[in-house]
Amino acid sequence: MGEQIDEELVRRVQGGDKKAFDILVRKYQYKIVQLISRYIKDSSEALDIAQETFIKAYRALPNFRGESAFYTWLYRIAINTAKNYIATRARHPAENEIDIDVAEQFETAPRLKDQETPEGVALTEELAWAIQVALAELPDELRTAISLREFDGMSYDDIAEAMNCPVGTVRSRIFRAREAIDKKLKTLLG
Amino acid sequence: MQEDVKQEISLLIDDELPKSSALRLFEQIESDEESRAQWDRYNLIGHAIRSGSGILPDVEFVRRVGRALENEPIVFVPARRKAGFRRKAISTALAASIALIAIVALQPWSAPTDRSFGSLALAEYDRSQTNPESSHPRTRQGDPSLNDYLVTHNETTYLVGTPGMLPYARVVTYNAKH
Repeated sequence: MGEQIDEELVRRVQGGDKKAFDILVRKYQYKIVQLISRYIKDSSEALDIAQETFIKAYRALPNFRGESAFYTWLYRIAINTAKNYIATRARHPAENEIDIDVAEQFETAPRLKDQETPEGVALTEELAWAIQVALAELPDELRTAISLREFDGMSYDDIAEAMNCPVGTVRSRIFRAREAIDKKLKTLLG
Repeated sequence: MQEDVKQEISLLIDDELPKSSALRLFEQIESDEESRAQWDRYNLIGHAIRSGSGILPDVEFVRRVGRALENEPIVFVPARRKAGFRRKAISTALAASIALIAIVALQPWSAPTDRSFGSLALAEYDRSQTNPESSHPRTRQGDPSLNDYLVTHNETTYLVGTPGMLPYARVVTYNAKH
């Protein structure tokens, strides 16, 4: 299902629709950031590399022929961009040191302010903790359903088989799990 | 926000929404702040469960990428057929050509339907050589000139030592003696 949607969006971008690319960015933003975070621990750097990944992908889209899935292709660009970044940083460590006053003038400044300040770091940790606690407090069947989905990446059909219940029940359990956690998240995010 | 929209967003995150609904919902997320915030929070939940670490929703991310691409030329690629279709068409054409070549090339050799034709003919020929009194000095089937050809061919092939060729005529002769 996801691949068909990507194909359609890629076709639209290749037909000159820039807005369709925004949808692809929104769709894969978190996956790409998470992937890059395996290589680059600093979250603001990871976000910058993710941004660069999408820019490179847009520029390369005219050559994308759909021989592999869009995400596989994007995944490769992200890994190469992260590796190049690490290699460049290793060669020129001093060049990447940017004064915080200068950094705040960049358009990424709001993100740096939010996430890299002690308050931002504390809030990020608090969010992670709250989500873990909320997950632990879920009834067994909700926790199992969302864990199979998020940890193991199983499809709804496979989860239904594993939990011996209809797909509709899986759909509902995963949604209810997300909703229960979301209630706690909303309180923290304000 | 309506419960069913939230449920659709949950399905969208898991790639479980049909294509048409998914595209419609993505467009709604782009234009509606509340739907976008919901999408971001559900994604954060997934991120935290998978990685064990938190992340703040970066609501500006898509806009920043969009701004960086503002001056990029619009991508325009002429519509092309799917790679899969093209590959299938090439494979089918190739297979058909090979089959056609094989049929044409094997045409002269497909006439004798009896696989033992050659060996029978040779056996008959040898018998006629060793037994001149035979009431059937010639072959039971086929043209005698073909027998001559086959015997000559086998003998010659053996003598010139063509790789992979067995001394077929000799084996027949050996059997005939017994």
